[in-house]
Amino acid sequence: MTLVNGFLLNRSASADSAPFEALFLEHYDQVYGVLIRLLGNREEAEDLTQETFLRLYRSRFPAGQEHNLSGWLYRVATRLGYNALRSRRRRRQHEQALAQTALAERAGDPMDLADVAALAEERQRVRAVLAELPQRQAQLLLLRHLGLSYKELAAALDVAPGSVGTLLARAEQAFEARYRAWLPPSQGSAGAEGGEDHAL
Amino acid sequence: MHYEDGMLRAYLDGEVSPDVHRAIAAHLNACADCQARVEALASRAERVTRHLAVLTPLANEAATPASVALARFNASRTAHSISPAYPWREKMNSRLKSLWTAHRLLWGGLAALVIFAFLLSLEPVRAAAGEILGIFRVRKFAVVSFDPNQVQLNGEAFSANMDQLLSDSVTVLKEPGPPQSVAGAAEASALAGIPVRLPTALPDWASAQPDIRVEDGMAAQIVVDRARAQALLDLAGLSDVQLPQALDGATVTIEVPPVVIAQYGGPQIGPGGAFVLTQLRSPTVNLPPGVNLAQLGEAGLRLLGLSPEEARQFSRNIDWSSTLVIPLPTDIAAFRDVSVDGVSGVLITERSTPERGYAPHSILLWQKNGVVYSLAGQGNAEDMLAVANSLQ
Repeated sequence: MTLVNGFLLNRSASADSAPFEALFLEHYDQVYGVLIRLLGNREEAEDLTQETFLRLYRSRFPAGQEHNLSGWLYRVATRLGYNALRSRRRRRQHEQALAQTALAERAGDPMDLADVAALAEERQRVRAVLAELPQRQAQLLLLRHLGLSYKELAAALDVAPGSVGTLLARAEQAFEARYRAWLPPSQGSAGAEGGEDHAL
Repeated sequence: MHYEDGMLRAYLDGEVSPDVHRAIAAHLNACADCQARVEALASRAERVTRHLAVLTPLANEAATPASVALARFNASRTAHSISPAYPWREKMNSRLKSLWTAHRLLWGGLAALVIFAFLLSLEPVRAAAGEILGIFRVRKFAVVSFDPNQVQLNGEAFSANMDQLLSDSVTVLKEPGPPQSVAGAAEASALAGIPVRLPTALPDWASAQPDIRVEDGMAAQIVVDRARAQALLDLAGLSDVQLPQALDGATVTIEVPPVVIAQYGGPQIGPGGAFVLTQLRSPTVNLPPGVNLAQLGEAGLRLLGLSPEEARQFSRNIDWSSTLVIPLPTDIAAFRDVSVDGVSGVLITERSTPERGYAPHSILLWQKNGVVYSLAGQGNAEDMLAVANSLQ
């Protein structure tokens, strides 16, 4: 489990007075981190990170959200990333080729080609499943995975804190069901999936 | 009594109060049904976590240093600041956004490519105005059409290397200043150091009084690391393109003089929207002696996906020391040479796409008496030319 080190929801209590650039520098890696996971493409993730901060910049911090800057950024970033991921599904084959190439291009990484291919396919599958889920479920799973507490999740996604457990359980169930049902777009065979199901 | 899944799920995450935690734990000891469900929830959560863990970024997916990202942010925000509220600019931006990839590539620290980079990264209005850089000095414009699908810049390794090269080699000597509103042409002239001209013939729908702003200029310096730039070309699969030896260690300086921006009309979408006239003394790029500009230009053209023959052909036919080459993605816009303001210029028109619900934008570019002009808007070509021809 990857955690965002030192993430605290209320860290930016002084957000409204802090210079924008300091906030940018402080939160950049967080926002990028969530987008690179969703998209797996550095340029796209960087573009949407910029877009996220541009929205923040234009909004001059949404009224009433000053105490919750991280939550706001996470909400916007996951929404932008999710939308990008969904629109990408329409060109899934392109994405697949891109993912393979990107992984294969990594110089000096100690992975053999079989590992590279397996990881690429696994990532494609996980992203495809996230894209199929309703937006809030995808956001919830990803942000929980990044280590947000229930309270932080509730604030970021604008849901009641007491409902997070229920929503999370549902989201995990939906994720798993779709994960099992997923078929590689190129082959549609049960090969890769069979292996994965045994592991489950 | 049984606990709901949501409560059990929160229990697993330690997200219930200590009292509730104790109560649930006691209940689980006594209730086989809840115990089975909590175990199922736990193992499912663990599996989902494992699946999501494959998304953990690899080393080559690490973030660009935040400071570099901030520099990019500030650059594009400055571009937005002309009229951030205009919806049509948003549309244009998103249209051009796909070109950011090209931008990244072209920012390789090569003087000739800096020109492309600025143009590609910014929306046309701004591109035509503030950020146009010239090799030596802009005398005329040439448009090179390219197919964005052919741009030679795929690959993560390439991006990473280029970002690094960029951050290592570019020094901003002078940041562009914030826009300053002025009362009229005279004040703008004094600030910008050029005789500011304004149109005397305006379309019916345009406001008679422009909103005029002057933005201070900028300057940057690039120290070229030829070996690394060449390595980038190799990464792009262009090993046959050789950068001039004279470029190694060369210091290239770029200066963009203050820009005068006059905006007419309101922000509405559709025919009769705002148009923007910009003017600035020609930007300059100083290259060290011995650098063959045509060779650099050819390298840039190859990166845009032109074949060696096309690049050479194009390169032969222009004077790189005075021509600002504008790369134009074939699917976005078309261009034609026009006679404007008593000189020859170029008119770039966005390809018509009725389904997007707004009239195509055009940009008119020309240079006269050392001043580079651009006129951008949604008018038809005749309107645009009439406005440009009425400058006084």
